[in-house]
Amino acid sequence: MTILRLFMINDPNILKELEGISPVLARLQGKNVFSVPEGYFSELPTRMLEQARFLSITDIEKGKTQEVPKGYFQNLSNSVLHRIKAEYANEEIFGEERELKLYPALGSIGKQNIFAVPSGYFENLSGVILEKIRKEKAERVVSISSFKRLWQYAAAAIIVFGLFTTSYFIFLRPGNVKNSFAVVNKNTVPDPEALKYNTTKAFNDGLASLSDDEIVGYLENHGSILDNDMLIKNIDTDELPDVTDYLISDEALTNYLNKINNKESLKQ
Amino acid sequence: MTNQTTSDQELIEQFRDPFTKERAFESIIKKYQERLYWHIRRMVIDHEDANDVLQNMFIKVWKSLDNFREESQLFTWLYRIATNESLTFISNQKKRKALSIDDEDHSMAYKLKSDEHFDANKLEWKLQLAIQSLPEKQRLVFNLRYYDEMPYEEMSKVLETSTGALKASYHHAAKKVEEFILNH
Repeated sequence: MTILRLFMINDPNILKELEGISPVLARLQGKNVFSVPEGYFSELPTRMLEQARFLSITDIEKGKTQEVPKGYFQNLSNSVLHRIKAEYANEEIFGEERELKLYPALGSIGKQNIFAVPSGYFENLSGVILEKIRKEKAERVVSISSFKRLWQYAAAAIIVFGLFTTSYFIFLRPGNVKNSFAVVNKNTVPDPEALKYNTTKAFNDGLASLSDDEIVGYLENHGSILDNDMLIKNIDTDELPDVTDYLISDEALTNYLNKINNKESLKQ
Repeated sequence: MTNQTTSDQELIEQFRDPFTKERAFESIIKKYQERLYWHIRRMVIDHEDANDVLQNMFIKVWKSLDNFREESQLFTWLYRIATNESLTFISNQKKRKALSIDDEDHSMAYKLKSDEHFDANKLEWKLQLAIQSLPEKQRLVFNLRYYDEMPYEEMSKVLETSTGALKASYHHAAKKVEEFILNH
């Protein structure tokens, strides 16, 4: 092993820069601590060239060695068949002729298809499948729409239910619409009409007597008086069915309401 | 016949000609081998490792020079390959180290100290230990500037980093090296 050259900073700009950063380093210009075998650099080009030549023969030029003649793949099947035929050339038979010789029974049957399909089946198949897909999509849309509608009614019912069970003393009052149950305002004085609904059963019966239009009309006209805090306090969110429950079962809301009814009944 | 005065551009053209390819390759090796070797050696420390990395990088040059787009100088391109190969080598060594029970065996400082000429009292060895204590990127920047005297613009192409970041990196590296030398 031989120790090579001294390291000196020759570029005055680099030396000046280093003096500015670290005068200690700028003065520290010593010998190279690393050594290389004798003759390493003189032999390296020859060794590298030998490696390159060897690799050229093997796989270094992968791009070139992996090139295939023009039209190779187009003709591959013919070439393979040609070779197979050549292999059977000694026997001078191929295809059906060979089959007939090797398996006389099979060969004599022939290859006619015995299974029939309706006329024009394959021509129309893609159209039939596409039509089925379209139909399925349409059904899914309808089903989702119905579910959305159901959910809107359910949400409205919950809101009204919560509102009435917890605050009928402050909201209810008689009015001039056909169903007195639906008539409420901010009146804080208990109304004799409202007192008719002081049990859950009476309330449920009253609620059931409301039409969708009355519920929607009430919510539209009195949305502003809905006290969110009060609603949040009086609806036990832990007991609310999960959204996914609605997706898998139409009974989820009914079960929830029944559960609440049972609790109320027990309280009474 | 190629010679020392043949420009990089001419060497590339000769390499692309099948009749002069090998001769051009040989000339490229002769022209840059020492600078590239030392660049690699300072990163990987051990001669055998440096030799492996250098040979691998020249094999890559043989494979890729035909497709070299000449957006940078040949010299810069070679340095970049050498740098990447060195870092890959170090990274692979670290992976092996992570699997090994004896971490010390693979550390650069350990390799330095294992050298038959190692002398902890000599400043040049302290300098090498200090350089090995730097993070990889700072070590590269320091070596390229301190030993190879590479302009920041050139270094910027090799390391694909802005000159501003390189200047800052060199400054930090030089300070750390100085501190190491003064405290050890």
